[in-house]
Amino acid sequence: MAEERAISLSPSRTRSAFTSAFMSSPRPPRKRNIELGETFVVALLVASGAGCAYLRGWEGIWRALRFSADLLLEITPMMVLSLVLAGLVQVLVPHEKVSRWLGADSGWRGLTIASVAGALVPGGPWASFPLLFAIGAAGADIGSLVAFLSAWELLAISRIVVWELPMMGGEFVFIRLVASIALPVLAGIIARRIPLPLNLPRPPRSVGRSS
Amino acid sequence: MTTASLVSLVVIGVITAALFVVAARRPGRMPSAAFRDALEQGKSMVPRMLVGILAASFLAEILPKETIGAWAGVESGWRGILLASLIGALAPTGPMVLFPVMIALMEAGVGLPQTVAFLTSWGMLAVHRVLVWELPMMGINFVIVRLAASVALVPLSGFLAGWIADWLHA
Repeated sequence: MAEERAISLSPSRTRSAFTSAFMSSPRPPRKRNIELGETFVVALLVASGAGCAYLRGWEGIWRALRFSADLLLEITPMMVLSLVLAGLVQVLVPHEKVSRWLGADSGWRGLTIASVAGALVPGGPWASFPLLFAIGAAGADIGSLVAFLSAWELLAISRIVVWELPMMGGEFVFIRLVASIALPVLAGIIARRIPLPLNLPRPPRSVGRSS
Repeated sequence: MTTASLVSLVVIGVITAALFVVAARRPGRMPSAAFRDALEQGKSMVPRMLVGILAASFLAEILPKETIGAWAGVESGWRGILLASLIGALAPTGPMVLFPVMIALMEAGVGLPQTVAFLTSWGMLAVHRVLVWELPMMGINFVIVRLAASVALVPLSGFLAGWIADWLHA
């Protein structure tokens, strides 16, 4: 099985359109197919950078750069670890099980499983997003992914225990939890009704295998 | 690094180590496939993330922080909930800044429904998280679908919290 996977790893896929467009490579230009999302972020970067320079001057630019560097330093060790974790999840969890439990036909039961799993993930976005990608690549549908991410955002047990309970108190946490507990499943139900395909930036392995 | 993030790092580390042992005991060189996966995903993610981090930092620098202070005077009601939802989405910060801000807001007289909407919005709609993580990793379609599915739920959580609080104190 691992060998099969290795074969379908095409090197052209690993180097995204974005990379080739922004890291001026000495190699001959490949077919440029910049995604909408990438175009948007780069446009936003240019606009916000110009706005920052105009409104806050060089001092603001410098502050923003230092903020970026701090953020990068803080998330790097966690990101490396969680990428390995996501890779392990991808090879260990059988695809047919993920698509049965969390696929498009999994119903509200799948959304509930995804929500419980999302609430159990500790840590920041460096932990949740690689996992989210991994279960998406393994065959979970967009509704389950939305439920998983929403549950992590709203109900993450570790964040509640570490931050919210000590700082906001029991009554606030109780009221907020009762008000939010159904929202991940609800978000998943709504997401399943929106007819837009889940195009993960790097195509799932199974697609490469079947074609 | 804060204690909270250190604890999470240790928890993730233990889970990763456990899964690594499980993978190593299975036949078929699974750990190396996992590392290859991780490397491949890292390579495609890092440049996009760098751009996202920079854009989010510039946005954080431009954002008028006084808005949050001005909003503290707003009385309860749906306008307050909508405004809280908007500000929560733009708050470019982690929990270590967010919760102290929320305490300050509640002490300044901001209602509980508004505070809940603020927190829900920071969770579900946070612009910086979409830019740095969600868009690079999941693509534009996922972002559109998730935001469309969540945007009405944020004020809803505020209204629900208000009703629950009324019911509790009735």
